[in-house]
Amino acid sequence: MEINRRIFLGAMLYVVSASVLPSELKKVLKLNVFKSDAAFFNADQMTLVYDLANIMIPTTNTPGASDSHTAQVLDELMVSWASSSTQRQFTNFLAQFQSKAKGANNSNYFSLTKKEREAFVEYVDGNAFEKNRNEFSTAYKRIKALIFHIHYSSEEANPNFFLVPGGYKGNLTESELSAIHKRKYL
Amino acid sequence: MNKEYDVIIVGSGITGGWAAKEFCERGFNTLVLERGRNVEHRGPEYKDFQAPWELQNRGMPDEELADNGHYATLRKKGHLYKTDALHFFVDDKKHPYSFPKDKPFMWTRGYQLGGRSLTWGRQALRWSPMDFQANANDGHGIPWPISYDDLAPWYSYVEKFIGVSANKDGLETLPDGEFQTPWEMSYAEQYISNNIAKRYTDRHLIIGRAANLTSPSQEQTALGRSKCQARSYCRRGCTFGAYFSSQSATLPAAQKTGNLTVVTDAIVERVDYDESSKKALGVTVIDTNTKERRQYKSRVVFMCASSLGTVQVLLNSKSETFPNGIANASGMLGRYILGHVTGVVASADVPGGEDKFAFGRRPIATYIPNYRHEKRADADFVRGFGFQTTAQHRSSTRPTAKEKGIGIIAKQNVGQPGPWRFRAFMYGEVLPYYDNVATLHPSKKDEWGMPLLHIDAEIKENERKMIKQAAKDIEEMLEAGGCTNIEVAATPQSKHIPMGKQVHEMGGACMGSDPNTSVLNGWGQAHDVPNLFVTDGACMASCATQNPSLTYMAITARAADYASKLLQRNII
Repeated sequence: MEINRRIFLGAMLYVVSASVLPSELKKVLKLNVFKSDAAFFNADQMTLVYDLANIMIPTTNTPGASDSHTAQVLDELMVSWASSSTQRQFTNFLAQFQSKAKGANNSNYFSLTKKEREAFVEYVDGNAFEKNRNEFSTAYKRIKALIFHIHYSSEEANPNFFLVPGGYKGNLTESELSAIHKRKYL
Repeated sequence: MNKEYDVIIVGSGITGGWAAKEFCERGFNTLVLERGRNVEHRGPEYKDFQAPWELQNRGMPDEELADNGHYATLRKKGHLYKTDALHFFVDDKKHPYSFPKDKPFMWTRGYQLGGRSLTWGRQALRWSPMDFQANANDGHGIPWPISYDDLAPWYSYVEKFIGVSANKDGLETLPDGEFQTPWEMSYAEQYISNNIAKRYTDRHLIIGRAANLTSPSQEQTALGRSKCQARSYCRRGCTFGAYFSSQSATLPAAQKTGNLTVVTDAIVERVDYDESSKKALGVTVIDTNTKERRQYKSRVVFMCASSLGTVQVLLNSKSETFPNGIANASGMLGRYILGHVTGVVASADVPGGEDKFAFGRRPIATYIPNYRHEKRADADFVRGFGFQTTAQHRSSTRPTAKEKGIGIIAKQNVGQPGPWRFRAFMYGEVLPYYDNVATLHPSKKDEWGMPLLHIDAEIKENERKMIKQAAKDIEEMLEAGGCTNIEVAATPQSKHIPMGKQVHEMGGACMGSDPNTSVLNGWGQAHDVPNLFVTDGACMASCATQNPSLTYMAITARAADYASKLLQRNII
């Protein structure tokens, strides 16, 4: 199944129009809230996936996961690519993640500040690569792998990708390479 | 539809396309039968104009496929299991084959018009005189009934038509041919090549020889082919026609003559044999969709269904004279299944070049041809191996989700230029073993009623010894090449190495001079059935170390020329 562009664009709109939180609170939380369900994830799950992706790959001087619409693409892949066991694994993970966040912070994940959320995701990331594997860490690593794959295979993350390079040169200086990138042809 | 032809060609892949072109251009009414579906050149199945972000599911096949056991062979191969070209490979759940549990065989197939010519590795290498002499020299397998000299003009003929971009290296072990402009080496490849040349006289790192056009001829342009654009998306289908395939070259050439009929979705069940004339009558096919059987008749049958596909059809072609398969009076049909083996993977940093970069996706690797044709003092095995190698791009730090790390720092670490890293993969020659054999499964059949092919083949002690030596050799060569951080991984002697992994399966209907020990003569003509020819990989009596497709094509063109003369003289 091809990625459904209509649903994909729809999911983008939800982000743009999300305004359920008071603006002052939004400034502190820096959370993009989805107010409608997406193709696979419900609104809460989508909000969480979007936030996770942006914490893993933030926008800096180069595009991040939000620029590459990684969460929305992941949502579509859950329909077009994921098996039922993966779908279950991911939804269970998101629920567990929320629950663990609450246990650790004594507060709903969505109520945490951006810094607190980043700290919690970093904590989960660190634990996931320890020797003791469990269902939660396995699921985390799979979601992380997908988020990375989606972002780093996106147009936004590959500004110097050439579909038709026109030739091969194997011994260029950096300035020669930059010039090719700039003029967009060999 | 007409059911009588001068020539029937079974299979439309790299050899079937060639047979079609040759017979059609000589004026013969020719039928090509393809078991798979039609694939239009530049049609909707070509995915070469999709950027990574446009690929279905970002390149990841639907997980349900794996969960339900589809594409088992392809999944084991890894790099081919992507949505960019998955549709050009066979799902072995739908098209099963059989092997002993302790000897898994990896059979990579392409059931569509064009067959595996749409996905082949495009390395177009001649065999050397030594390769054709090997069986006779060391006594393994059946001596080749032809020499390099017999094939040399046909290599040239094929190379001029398909277009091979290569350098004239002047090597005895890898004869030069009719070449177009070669691809250039990267900084790192050239560095190693120069250093190896300083140290050895018999070992060379050369640019690969690619069936991708770099300076198209008038004939190629007239077929709608154009220059390669260095995309390296060849196996997705090449819209430019720069990559040689049946679709881009041989079938259009055959079509131009008006003598070609192509029937797809037709599984050849058997070659029909006429007991009175002692010739092949034609073939019986099973319609893939309706499962109805029908017959086609011809004066000549050319088997070009891929090595193992051809063996399967021939074994299934039983008659009173040939109860064990047509042209099998010798009992050799199905024997000497061959292939290449890789058991060594090496990599190393190439010093310097911090200010050097590469651009474009060159469609071919570099290559170290076999330098061990004859037993040397330090070798306890026969034959030899070469290496497929590459350092076409400078490495850069890749995003890895498999390690701890997220956020700004992890992101900053992505895409940083690293050292030039050279990689080498051994390609060794598996000896012709009589007991590496393909047979028909006694009871299991596919959904069209064809008995499954049972492939019982393995590598043996000679190949294990080769692997040991290849590991030593490549380490030594990388040191001589001036590399650092050399890593060499050799498959442990106790670990199973499946045959078929390198795709180049060959043998099963070997050529030979003696009808008692071989299936075909030097023209690819069955000893027992004069109007039956086999010119795909099944005819090979040994497998050398080079990628074999160019040799299949040369053998096919030569055989078609020979068969045409026999047809013109009404000898067959």
